[in-house]
Amino acid sequence: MNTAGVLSAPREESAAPAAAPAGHDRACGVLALARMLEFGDSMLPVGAFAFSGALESAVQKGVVHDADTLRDFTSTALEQAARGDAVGLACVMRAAVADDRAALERADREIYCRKLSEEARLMSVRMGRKLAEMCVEATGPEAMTPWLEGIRAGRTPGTYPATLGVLFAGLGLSPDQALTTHQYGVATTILNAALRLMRVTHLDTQRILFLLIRDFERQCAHAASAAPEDMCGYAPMTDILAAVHVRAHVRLFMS
Amino acid sequence: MSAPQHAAREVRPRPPQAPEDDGAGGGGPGMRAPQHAAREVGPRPPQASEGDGAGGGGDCVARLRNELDRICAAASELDAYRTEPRQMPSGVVGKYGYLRLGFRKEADGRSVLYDIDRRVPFLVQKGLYWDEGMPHMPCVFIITTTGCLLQGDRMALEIRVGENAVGHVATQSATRVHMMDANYAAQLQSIIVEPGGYLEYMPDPLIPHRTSRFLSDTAVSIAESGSLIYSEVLLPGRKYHHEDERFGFDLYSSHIHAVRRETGEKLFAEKCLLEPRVSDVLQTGVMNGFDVFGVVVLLTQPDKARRVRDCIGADVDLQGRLAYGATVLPGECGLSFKVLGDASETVRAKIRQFWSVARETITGCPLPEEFLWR
Repeated sequence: MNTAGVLSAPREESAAPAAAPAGHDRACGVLALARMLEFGDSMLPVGAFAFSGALESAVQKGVVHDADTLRDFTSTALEQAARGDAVGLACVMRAAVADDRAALERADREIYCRKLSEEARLMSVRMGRKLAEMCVEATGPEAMTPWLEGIRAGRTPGTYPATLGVLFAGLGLSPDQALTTHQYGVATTILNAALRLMRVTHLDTQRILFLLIRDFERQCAHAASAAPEDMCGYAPMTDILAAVHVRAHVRLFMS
Repeated sequence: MSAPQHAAREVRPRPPQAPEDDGAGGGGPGMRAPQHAAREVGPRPPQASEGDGAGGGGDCVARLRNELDRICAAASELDAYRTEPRQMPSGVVGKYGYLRLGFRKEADGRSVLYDIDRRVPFLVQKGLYWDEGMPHMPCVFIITTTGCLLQGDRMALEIRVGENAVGHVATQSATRVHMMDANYAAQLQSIIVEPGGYLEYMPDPLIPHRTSRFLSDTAVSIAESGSLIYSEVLLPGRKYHHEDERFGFDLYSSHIHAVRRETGEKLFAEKCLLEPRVSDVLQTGVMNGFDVFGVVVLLTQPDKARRVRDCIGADVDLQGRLAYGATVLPGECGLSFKVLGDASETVRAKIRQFWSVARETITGCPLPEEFLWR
């Protein structure tokens, strides 16, 4: 097996190689789909349940108060992720496939230095580290071992999108699969938090998720084709809510 | 503070040559000749030597222009807007503004604006000492002689603050970006703060008219012991002028990024991209129904950043129509303070409050009362 981070793990014949351009992965096999479900599941023990992505203060301040505003807030978070973190994730996958460790760590730092809120940074590096630790401990692939060492040695911040990219490249999954998993995680983190923070039903959140998933194709296509310097965003209210949350007296979530 | 007192402060002994009309005023090719078109030295000329500026004027102009051209060529968001205007072509003489400002601390403890180089439509006259809270600080108004930004305009600005020097830079009025049917306007701002330096760069709001496209790139290189306060305020357009002018612009792209002067380490980056015709900027979580967006980037030492953050607070008041909050930047290198409001006045008042706290925390000096006419 290749320890440096590429194509090292259980790969089945039908799975498209990670280097395959978007669109080639439609022929992926059951194993690839199941891996995607496994690492995209909200029960993945990386601590996503502890974060709300500023929804907690959005509810406290009345910015989000019903299913419609929750849908819009989640949609904004997805658009931001698609133009920011997901672009970084696609870069990480390209670097991991090319076995370019310097480019990989550079992309990780680019993701990190665009997180201007302390809680968003904490969420990203904590979940990234948890994911790397879980893989080294329980699942592989081997590429995660040097990646975790890099995080522990402080060589690289180990943001969640970057770690997810290293993992999916290591499993031989495609960038589309990684991007979809990433976007799905952004949506479910907020919607799961909503169930505990406001008066919405499981049916409401499922309806919202079903609706917002329609945008994934466009979002993932953008993220896969954008250059690292295209990473951008614009969600000042979400940024302000993150600042409000840091100072909040009562907090159920860490962001 | 009343107006006449401020005016009186400006009347100081003038340096031998009034620099206002030097070189850069014209629009013809001849304007490139003077390398240091105006060398302003503050109230008491300290004999600034020719060689200690930011380098040869022509080299600096070319270097910054090349950098701005490179940024514009690489920016994919501009791809839809690369046609040439039917009027003057983009980026020719008169449409390629350049301004270099250098601040330096003198032996007597005062700072001076010792270096100016400028190309139309940028104009700067001299450093004035109007700030009664920091009477040792030269304050500079950047004047744009064309009064606005037009399609095809390229503006490059360089500010260098020397060791332990202080400086304040502002604009005379709001920057209007006019309607466009071809090309775009772009600006590059390069800011260098040396150890112990302190710079306030607080331009007036930007007003993008409908169908305008504007790209801004602000590159900061700051020493660990240096401090910078930089603000941007974005209005939705002239919303009482035309029904299509509330976020009627095509593109607003602002990239602010900073590196550590000593090591070159990247501190943070934020690229705000607004395309109101592509996605709804008023949506929940984005502008959330607010019209005016303000951001202040404060780069300073971690303990000071934390003190400012704790003092300024954070709140979202949907009834009172104001939302603001500061987050700590990566590596605790400073703060990003964002404000949303419905009017330029409320947003600027909040920014002024932040500025006041930041100045007091960093320099120990108070912010004087706002000029009556501002």
